[in-house]
Amino acid sequence: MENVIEVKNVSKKFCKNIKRLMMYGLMDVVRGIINLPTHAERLRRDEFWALRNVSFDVKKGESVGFIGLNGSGKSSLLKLINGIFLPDVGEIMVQGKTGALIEAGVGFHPSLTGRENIYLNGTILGMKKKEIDERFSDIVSFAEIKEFLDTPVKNYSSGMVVRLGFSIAVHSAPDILLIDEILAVGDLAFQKKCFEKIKSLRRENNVTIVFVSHDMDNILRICDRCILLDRGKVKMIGEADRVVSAYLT
Amino acid sequence: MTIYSSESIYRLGIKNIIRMMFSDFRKGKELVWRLFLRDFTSRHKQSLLGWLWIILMPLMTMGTFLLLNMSGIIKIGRIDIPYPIFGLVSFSIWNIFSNGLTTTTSSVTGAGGLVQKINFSKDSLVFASFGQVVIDFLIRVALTFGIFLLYGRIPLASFLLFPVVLLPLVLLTLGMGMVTSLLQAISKDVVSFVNLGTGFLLLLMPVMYSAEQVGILGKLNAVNPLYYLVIVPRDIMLYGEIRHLAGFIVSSVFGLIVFVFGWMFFYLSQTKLAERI
Repeated sequence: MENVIEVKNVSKKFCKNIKRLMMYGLMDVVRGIINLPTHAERLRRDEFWALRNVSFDVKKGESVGFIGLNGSGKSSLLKLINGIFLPDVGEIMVQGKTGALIEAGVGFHPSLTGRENIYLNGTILGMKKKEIDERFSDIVSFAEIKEFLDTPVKNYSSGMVVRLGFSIAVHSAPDILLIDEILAVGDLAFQKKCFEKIKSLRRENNVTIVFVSHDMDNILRICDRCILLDRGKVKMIGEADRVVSAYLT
Repeated sequence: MTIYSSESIYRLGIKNIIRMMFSDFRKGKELVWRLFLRDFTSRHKQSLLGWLWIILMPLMTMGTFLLLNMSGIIKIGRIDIPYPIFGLVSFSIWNIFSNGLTTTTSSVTGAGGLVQKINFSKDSLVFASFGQVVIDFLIRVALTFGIFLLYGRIPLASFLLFPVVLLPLVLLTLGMGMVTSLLQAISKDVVSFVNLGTGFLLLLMPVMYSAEQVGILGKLNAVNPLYYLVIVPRDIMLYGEIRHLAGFIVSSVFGLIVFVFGWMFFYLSQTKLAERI
């Protein structure tokens, strides 16, 4: 089976000082433009490695979980795969369209209605208007917000916001779906529905799933393999149940 | 296949990076439009005066200048057309720069979590925010036509040249806005500096008045590209004449360079924005 994600010796550093962070960023861009080395391997003042020498592959249709303590680098790794951050060292290759659910309701405008936000968020996730038109009723029906379609999103409950966000993301027809813990916000019935949807996406469309969670039951529910991260480094890669037991012990 | 690495984009060279910028912009047109609609729909939702602000602002600025003129603090100078027409056209053109720069400066930091949590072309935020400035401008142009008719005058045919002669000013503003929106992510003071700077420039440049400038101010304006990009379109609209053609052409080229390099700088830095905001 072909690899759809290849992470090769990836390192990512962040800066503790917020003023220096952007100054370093701008310096790196200028150095890149004028073809000077950026010394990405070296830490500057206040910088630290959030991820160090991370390598792994994900095959098409696979479901992989990232687990580890807070600050181990799970969410940063997810953002690197999504292209939100760029690695400082190494390379990430991604094959296919990526859909991400990193935070519930991100991209929604609180003053706009559910209907308006479906079009806004759908476009941000890379859908064309025609595609949104075609999938509109499926999005609404999966999110169970039909009666509140013309209500501003700021009046939605947090569960409704997650439902709508999840619904738009899964209907954007991604080849790879990245999910970061957000399902914990919804109620049990909706969580069950989401897991069913994830399973059907894998079964029918061979969608690849990358899932970040602290809930080991959910990890075992949907993941074939897991990657255990510890202080930015890969501690273990393997079958989900084996890695989860190692993490829990 | 998409490859994410720290240096892959630089290896392409400036020419290919510029080509990629335009190609991504074409692909992301729908997103720019959708973000524009978002800002347009939500803009005045919780404002008491709403759209009236677009008309009130030039009226208040014109009133201030008339008051300063009557008090002898500022000389508006000799104007061959009614001041409301002169003032409204001047303010509308000036506002493309001043409001355009303020709006674009705040556009990225204002998007907050969107920038940090979703991978999309962040320059769409800057382009979309500028759409509001265009709407304000069009409303003021319609108002200007009304005032022309009120004075029993018909606008010159040169009014039709608006989109062409204002393009260099738009490009300069967008290019500067790309850079200031990045700087705003480093320091929240940038938008205050922009407000202060544009307010100061409005007084220094003969935008709301026409008195000839001499001395150091005249010399400074003679080398200020913004002066030509504001004054020349205004003269074309109001008098159908072009003074300072050479200055306008040089300033237009300058505006184009600022746009391309400002945009390129933004394009290459946008992933750093997600780490900062």
